[in-house]
Amino acid sequence: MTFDFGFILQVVLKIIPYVPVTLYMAVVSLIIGGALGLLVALARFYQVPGLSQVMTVMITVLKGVPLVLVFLVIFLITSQNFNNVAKMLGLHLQYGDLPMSLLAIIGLSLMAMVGLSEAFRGAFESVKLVQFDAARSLGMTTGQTIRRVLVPQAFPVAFPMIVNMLINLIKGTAIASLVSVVEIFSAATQAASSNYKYFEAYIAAAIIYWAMTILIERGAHWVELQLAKKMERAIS
Amino acid sequence: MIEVKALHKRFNDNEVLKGVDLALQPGEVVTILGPSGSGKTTFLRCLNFLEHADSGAIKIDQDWVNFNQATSQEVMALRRRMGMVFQNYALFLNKTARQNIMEPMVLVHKVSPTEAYDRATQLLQTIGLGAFGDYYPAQLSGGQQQRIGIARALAVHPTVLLFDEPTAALDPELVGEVLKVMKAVKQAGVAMIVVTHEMQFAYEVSDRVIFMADGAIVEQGTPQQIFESPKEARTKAFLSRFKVRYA
Repeated sequence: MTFDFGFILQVVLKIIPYVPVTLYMAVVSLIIGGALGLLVALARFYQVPGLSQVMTVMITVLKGVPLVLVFLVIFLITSQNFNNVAKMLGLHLQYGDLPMSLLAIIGLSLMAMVGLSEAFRGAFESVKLVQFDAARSLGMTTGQTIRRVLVPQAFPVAFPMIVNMLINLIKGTAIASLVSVVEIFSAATQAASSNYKYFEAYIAAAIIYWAMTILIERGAHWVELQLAKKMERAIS
Repeated sequence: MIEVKALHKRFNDNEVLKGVDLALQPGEVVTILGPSGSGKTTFLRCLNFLEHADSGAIKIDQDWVNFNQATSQEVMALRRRMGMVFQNYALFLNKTARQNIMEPMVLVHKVSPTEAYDRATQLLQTIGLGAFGDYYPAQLSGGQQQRIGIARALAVHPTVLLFDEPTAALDPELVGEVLKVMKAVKQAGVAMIVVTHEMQFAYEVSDRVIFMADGAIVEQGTPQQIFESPKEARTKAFLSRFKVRYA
């Protein structure tokens, strides 16, 4: 077997245009999953009666299965029922009209929600109890305390895990190739389908994933330094 | 005018406060002394509704509110008339000194941000930290943090300030600067309830000293009465250990 460096470069150039699709799916999922994860973490942190238990069960169920399984279940449920539900609601929509990246976003958002809700809950626990005493003694409401004290103090703690989640989501987008979304991974596979140089194509895909991951980690490191500055004791 | 009557509090089987009564005149400074576990801190936390008292009632300027039937509006209204200073300062770590002082003014008392900024700046001058407005708590010493904690509680013009061992976590050389600010608070005419082990402060600054033990008030009187001629045996025993320090 000969190794074709030239072909790697070719594939890299060919799949770079699909970087935005991958990033789009990952970032949208991070935002949706982050927002849901925050609500789940808050419900569990404040032990909202009923809601807290429901969330705990939901997280346990989702956490216990592989992403690809969640993804296929979503695909099966939606592909079989979407047309009927759409008709019932009077929508002139067919399943085929939906962008398949939407399915990936749903699956990845659930994954992000599970991971980030745990990350946020851990970060909430790290906020000192006396901070809540102070907020209450000053007459602040729970909502004000969440917005002004809890979330701002928990965010720097959760930040490395949020970045980690973004990287996992980027890698997770490869699963979208299962439902024929053309992203980095499936673009690389397609490029090799004419000459069967899959090994080179996969290396090319790996190079792109590495590059994205390294850039994100560099950026995150810089942000972490900025976040840490105010919490550190000044040297003087 | 601040009044508390028959405050009871128990943690499980442990009766921590066995019916405490207290009345303060406007601007009066009361120091509460007593051994650890006597319920001093719990008493303050109950007044501020940080702990849920089992029974009793409180009145600050307006109507009586029962501790065990207070609505959240009543609790909020009472808290707006009280300030609390904590042993561990409890400044918001994500906010600068000035933002800490502005926070309750803007969020709770709906003071305009510019007005709050000016009052925070003026308070920072008063406590001798005019140049530290943009520092974060982690960049300040314990004494500096506690002075900001007092300024934050004072910023919203409370009727009474509650001090929970404000100097207990400080290095001895930092205690003086905090006590100086507390004396200034008294000059400003704000009533204070101070739980402390600073006998010098209790003797010099307070109008009245209360000695508490086992969840009840054992004895109270002017500083002279309590320190120079205590009547109860428990008070005598407690104070004898501090003789050297205030004599």
